[in-house]
Amino acid sequence: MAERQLADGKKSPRGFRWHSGYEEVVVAAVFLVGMLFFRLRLENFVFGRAGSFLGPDFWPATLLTIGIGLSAVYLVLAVVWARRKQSHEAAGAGGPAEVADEPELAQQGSIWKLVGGFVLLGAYIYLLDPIGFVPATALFSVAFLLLVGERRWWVIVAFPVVAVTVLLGVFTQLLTVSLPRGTGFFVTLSTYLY
Amino acid sequence: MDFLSGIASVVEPYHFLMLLVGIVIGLIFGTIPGLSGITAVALLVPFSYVLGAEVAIIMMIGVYLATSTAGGIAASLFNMPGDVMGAATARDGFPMTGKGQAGRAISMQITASAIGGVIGTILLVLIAPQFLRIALQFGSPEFFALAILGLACVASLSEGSLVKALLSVVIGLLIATVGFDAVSGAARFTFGNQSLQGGIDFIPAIIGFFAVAEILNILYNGSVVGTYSSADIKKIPRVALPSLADLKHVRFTILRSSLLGNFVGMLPGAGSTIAAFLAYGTEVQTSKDPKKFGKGEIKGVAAPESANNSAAAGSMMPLLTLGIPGGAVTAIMLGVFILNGLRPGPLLFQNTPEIASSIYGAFFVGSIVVLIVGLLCVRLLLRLLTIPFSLFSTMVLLFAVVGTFALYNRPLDLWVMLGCGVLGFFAKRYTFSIAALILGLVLGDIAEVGLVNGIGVTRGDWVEFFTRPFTLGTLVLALILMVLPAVISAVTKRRNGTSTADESLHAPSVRD
Repeated sequence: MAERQLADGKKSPRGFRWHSGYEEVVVAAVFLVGMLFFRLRLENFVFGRAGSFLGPDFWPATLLTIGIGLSAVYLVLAVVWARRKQSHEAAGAGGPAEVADEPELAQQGSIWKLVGGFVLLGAYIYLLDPIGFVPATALFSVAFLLLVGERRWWVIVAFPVVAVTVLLGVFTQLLTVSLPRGTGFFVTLSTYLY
Repeated sequence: MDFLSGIASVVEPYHFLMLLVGIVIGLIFGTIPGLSGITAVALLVPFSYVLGAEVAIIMMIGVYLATSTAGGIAASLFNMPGDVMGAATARDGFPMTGKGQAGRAISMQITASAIGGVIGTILLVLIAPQFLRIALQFGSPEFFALAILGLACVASLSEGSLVKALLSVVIGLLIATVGFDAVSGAARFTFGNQSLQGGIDFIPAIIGFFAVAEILNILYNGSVVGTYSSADIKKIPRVALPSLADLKHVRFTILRSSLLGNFVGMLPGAGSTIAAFLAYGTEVQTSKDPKKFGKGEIKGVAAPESANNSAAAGSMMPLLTLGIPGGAVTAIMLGVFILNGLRPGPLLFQNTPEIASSIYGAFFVGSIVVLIVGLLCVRLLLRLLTIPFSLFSTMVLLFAVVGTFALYNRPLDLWVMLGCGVLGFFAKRYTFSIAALILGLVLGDIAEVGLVNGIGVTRGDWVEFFTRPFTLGTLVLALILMVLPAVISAVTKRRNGTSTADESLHAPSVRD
C-alpha cells in the first residue's frame, strides 16, 4: 500500500492515518473506565424493578459487562501496538515515503475549523428557541460561510437569504412544519415573515 | 401478480415523478464526496408526513439505487468515491481512466448497476414470499437470534479491528437502552431529564453520524470538492454507452456478483458496501488472471457495481418479511413505516400488499431509470464537483438541522444529532465502525425484547431458549461469522510471519 507524506511529516498509509501510539491507549482507557463506572453504579441510572430476574437492569448490565471485557482487550492491544510503534520508530525502520497519487485539496482543514464548526452548530441549535428560525439561520449561514473561507461578499449576503427562503418554503409551506418563532420581539418578526 | 401490479403502480405519473425526484437527489448525493445516500434518505423522512408511506418509500428507493450507482462515477474518474461503496469500483475504474478509457468505465458501471438492480429485484420477488412462510413461525427467540446475527455480520464484515467493531455494537446497544424500558416501562439512563424518557431516536442519530460527522471530518481534514474545473469535466464523454463486446465479456461477472450481492444484502447488517467489496474480492480470486485486477480490468468495475445494487434490493427482504432492518437505509425506511402507522412483517403483506408490490416495482423501474438518466447526465453530475465546499456544506448542515427538527419538533433531537456528529467524527478518526454503532442502536430494542420476552416464552428455561432449531442455527452462524475472519487472519499472518495484534488493531478501515 502506497504511503503518503503528510504536511506534519508523519507518514500515513493511503486511506487512513496513523495515530500517535498512545492516543489509542487513552481512548481504550476512557472506554474501560466509563463502562466500569456505569456498571458499578447501575442502580443509580436504572429505576423500577432493578435487581429482579430479567428486570430493567438485566440488559444494560449484560452489555456493560461485555463492554468491560472488550475495553480491556482493546486496552491491551493498544498498549502492545503503541510499544511496537515506539520500538519501530526507535529502530528508524521505513524508508522515504512514496507520495500517493491523491487529488489536491481544494479546502484545507484545521483543528480550529473543526472546533469552530462544532461551536457554531451548537450555538445555532441553542439560539433557535430564543431568537427564532430566521435570525438564527441567517446568523449561522454567515458565520459558517466565513469559517469555511467564503470571502465573496455577494455570496455571504445572498446565500442566507436564499437558504432561509428555500427552507421556509419547503418546511413551512410544503411540509407544514412549525419552525421556532423565538420569544419577545422575535415572535413579532417571525410572524411578519411566515 | 404482485410484481406486475407494483410496476403498474410505479409508472403512474405521480409515483413515477416522485421516483424520478428521488433518483435525481440520489445521483447528486452519491456524486459529491461527503454526502451519502443515507443522509439523503434520512433528510427525506419529514416528507413522508405529506407524501404518505408508499410514495415516500418509492422516493427513498430511487435515492438508494441512484447513490449506489453515482458513488462509483467520481471514484472511477477522479479516485474520489462519492459514496463509500464506490471505493471498490475505484480500484479498477480509476486505472481505466488513467488509460484513457473513462467513458468505457462509466458506461460499464452504470449498466452493471442497472442489471444488478433488476436481477436483485427478481430475486427479492421470488424469495420474499418463501421466507415469509418461515417468518410466520418466528417467535421472540428467533427475532433475538436474527438481531444478534445482524450485529455479528456488521462487526465481522467491517474492515478493521473486530474488537473495535464489537465495541461499536455494544455502544450502539447501550445508547438504545436510554429511555423507558420497552418491557417493564422503567426509566433508564435518563439522568433526571424528562426529554430523554422517550429514548434516543435513531433518525437524528443517523443524520448526525453521516451528515454532521462528515462535514466535521472535512473541516478537520480538508476536501477535494471544488478542486475540479469545467475543463476537467469536458474531457469526459457527454454520453457513455457500453459496447456489446464489453457486455459479453462481463456477463457472467454481473450474474455472479448480483447473486452474491443479493444474498449478502439479505443478511441483516451486511449491506451494499460489504457486498461490493466481497464481489470484487470474489471476482479476483476466481479469475484466471488475478494480476489484471487493480490495473484497469473491466470486470473489476462490473462486479462491485452489480453487487451493490443487487444488495440494495436484497436488503429489503429482512425489512419486509420480518420488520428487521438490515442497515441504516432500511432502518430509516422502517422509521417511515412506523411514523405512518404501518409495521413491516407478515402483516404488511396481509393488510397492505400494495406497498410491498410498489417496493418491487420501484426497484425494477428505478434500476432502468437510473440507467437512462445516468448514461445521459454524467457530465452534468460531475459539475457538482465544481461547487465550492462552502456552499454545499452550509446547505447540508442547514437541511440536517431543520430536517431533524421537523421530525418531531423536539430540541432534544438536535442535540442528539450534534452529539452523534461529534461521536461519528471520533469514530472515523479512531477507525470505529459507524455502521456497527448504528445497527446496535437500531436493533437494540429488538434484541432486548426478543431475549426478555423469549425467556418468558420458554418459562425461564435458558436451555430451551437457545436450543430452538432456528435460534440455535442462527446464533451458531453469528458465532462463526465473528470468529472465522480472525482465525483466517491469524493463520495467514502466521504463514507470512507478521503480527496479528498489530494488524487487528490497525488494519485499513473502510469508511462507514
